[in-house]
Amino acid sequence: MKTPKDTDLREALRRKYANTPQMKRLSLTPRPLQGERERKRKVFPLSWKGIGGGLIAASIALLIAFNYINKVKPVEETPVVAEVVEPEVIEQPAPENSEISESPEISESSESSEYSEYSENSESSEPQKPVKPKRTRKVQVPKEEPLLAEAEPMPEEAEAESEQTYLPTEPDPYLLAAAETQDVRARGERLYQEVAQLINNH
Amino acid sequence: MKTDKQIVETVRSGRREGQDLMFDRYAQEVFAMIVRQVPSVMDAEELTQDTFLRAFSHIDSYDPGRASLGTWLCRIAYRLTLDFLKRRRPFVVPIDDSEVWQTDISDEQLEAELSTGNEERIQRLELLIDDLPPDERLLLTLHYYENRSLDDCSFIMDATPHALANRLYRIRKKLYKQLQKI
Repeated sequence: MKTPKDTDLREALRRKYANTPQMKRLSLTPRPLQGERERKRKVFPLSWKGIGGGLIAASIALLIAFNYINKVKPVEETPVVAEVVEPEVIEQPAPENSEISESPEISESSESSEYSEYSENSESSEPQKPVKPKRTRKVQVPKEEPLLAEAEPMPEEAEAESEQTYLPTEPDPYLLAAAETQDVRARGERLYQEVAQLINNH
Repeated sequence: MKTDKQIVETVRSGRREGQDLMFDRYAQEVFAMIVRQVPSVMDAEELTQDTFLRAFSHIDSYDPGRASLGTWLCRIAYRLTLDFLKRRRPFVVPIDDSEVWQTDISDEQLEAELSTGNEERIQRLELLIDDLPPDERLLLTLHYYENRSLDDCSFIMDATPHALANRLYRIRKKLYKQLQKI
């Protein structure tokens, strides 16, 4: 089979591949290259693992922080203006007798039963094993709330309180007095003018 | 100096010495063939390493009666390079060769057209070679640049010499057609 000359094509290929780079590592060292390739492969999984772990840690930290913020009660701000709390008499319904009366009976019965068991055991002559303390039922006793929330203050105390405190909602007594004096002055001026007018007319 | 046959026998016996000898003798040739197709030198070096590792593991399948040791290594390198290029460049827009079959030009005429010595044509051909598919570019490189026979090329590319001759004719016609468009 005749091979065509195609000098242009050969020349183009010669120019194209004239600067073919040489192989730098002319030794059979598969291990370092293999290691390099493995490193390349491992870099991504490791980094992905790292990123994944970081994300999980961050989300856990966020959850903990969120729970902590929710648990912390907001600090009550002290009011700038003193409030006058009007005393109110709150009549609380009397606590139901059944709830309170039940608990002592239960505890008494448990105690009595324990006592009876103990006495029975003590009467027998056999060596006694150490008796484990039985669990006693805990009965929640509701806290007794006061029938009256607060005692009604005496009238002198109320007056003293009203004198000491300043309420912006109520009118200032000094302003009221000033308004009254202005009214009196205006009335006097009006009378003075009327008198002057009558004198002029006559 | 050991012959190729002795090197192959040493490699088959599992000795490291044979592997080193084979690598020292053919690494540059294999690397040069690969690096002409693969733009990155590092990738070409890795592919060269892979070629030899594969050769060592498949040394029993080497038949000295069919091809020389260097040609056999180039066959492995050719396959690895094509696989690599397919992975790297899955979508290649080839030169439109629908008009190639319609072009009636004899082999002599074609040879004359591609042997003008025109500088502009040579430069244009340099660029057109880049647009060829990897297997066609490799065939041109093996046959025209490395001056390998069509028999060697057929062994490397796993095709019959007649089929390769036809393919080569088609590639030349394609390049001629592109040159006509200027």
